[in-house]
Amino acid sequence: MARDISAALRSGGGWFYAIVFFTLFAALAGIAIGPELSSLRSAAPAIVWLAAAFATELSVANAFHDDARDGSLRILAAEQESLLPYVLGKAAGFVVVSAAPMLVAAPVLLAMFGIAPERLAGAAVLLALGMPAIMLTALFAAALAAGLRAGGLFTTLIAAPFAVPPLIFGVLATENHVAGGALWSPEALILAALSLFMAALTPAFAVAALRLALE
Amino acid sequence: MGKEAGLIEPYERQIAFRADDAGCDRAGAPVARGVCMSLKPGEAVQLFGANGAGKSSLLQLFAGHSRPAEGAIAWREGEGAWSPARPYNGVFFMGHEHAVKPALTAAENLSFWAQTYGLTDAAAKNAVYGALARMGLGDYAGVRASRFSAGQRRRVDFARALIARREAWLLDEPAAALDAEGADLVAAVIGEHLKAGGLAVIATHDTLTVSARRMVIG
Repeated sequence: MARDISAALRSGGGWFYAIVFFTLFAALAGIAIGPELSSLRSAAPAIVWLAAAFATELSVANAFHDDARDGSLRILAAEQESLLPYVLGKAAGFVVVSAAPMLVAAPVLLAMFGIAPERLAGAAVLLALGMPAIMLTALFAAALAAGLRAGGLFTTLIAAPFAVPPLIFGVLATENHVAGGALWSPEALILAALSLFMAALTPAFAVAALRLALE
Repeated sequence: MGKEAGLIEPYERQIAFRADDAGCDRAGAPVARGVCMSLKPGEAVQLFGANGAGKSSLLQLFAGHSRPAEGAIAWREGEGAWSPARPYNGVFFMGHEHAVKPALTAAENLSFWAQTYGLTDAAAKNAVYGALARMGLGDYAGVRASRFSAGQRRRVDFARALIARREAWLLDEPAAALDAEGADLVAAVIGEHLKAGGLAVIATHDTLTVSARRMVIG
């Protein structure tokens, strides 16, 4: 698996931008909303989830672009029994390079928005629960667009609708939790189910899409 | 630099290749048609032809990346039967792109490919440094590829051939962007490969000093 992570990292390019984008987006949204803590507090879950969704989509959008363009993908496809380890490596690479820093930054941002300290860990858990669903659909879209020149835009267009369910349930679950509700609300369970569902489907879809892009 | 300074050990397998009236398309349009060749171990063909004649498309076809639009290609291992599928771990393909990541050092790039080609970690390390030394980049192993010239990147990419140790080499413009010394180096390595019992199909514009049959496409 380490090899696949290194494979993912070597073509990662702008993945470090995810954390920068995430923080900037949330900070600017906070400034736009204004200094009143009650409105900041009520908008916080939506802002953090939106920032995470956008940062994820943007960082995964070109996941396969470099490898398709420089011929690496073709060699990998010919040399390896299956592209599944490669796709999973890309996903793992995203988790290490982009998702992990965002999950560390999320509680800090939420605290700045006035969320109670004892609710921060739970909110981060919910974000971790929903992020795979967003990331995996974006990864599948990136695989579809691997051979295209303007792939990034195409990827975001395809993946955006799939980000809607995790966004809805993620924001609901987070609002519920920061307002004093239980962590494992029905919304949180649906969020986990969405991620598991995508984890079961999208890697195989992405492999098929990459094969198609190589035809 | 290794003691044997990069001489390619004789290959254990004898691999032969054949194209019978093979034709291929590029983006749906026919490019090369009626290509016939037969390569025994130790033989090579240089493909010539104008831009767009279909040299690269033919190499993609031979590598198994696409299917023949007409005719057939076949491989044979030893005295076995001819088969359209490329022999397992038998083909090395180098496209006209550089499969070299700018963010990684020369050694890191090649280590990745060594693993992809199935080398163990210990074997990979020796092979990587041996191949870099052979390509005249021994002092540049730890330098990021983003600081390399196009010719140096080409050398790194070509070093893959020494690491992969495959019997059949399919090379698309192996000497592109190389200086005279680099082109001679590539030709010498291809010569060693043929002497070791390998075969090669080389698409090229400038004649490499390799003992190879010439074939004009288009």
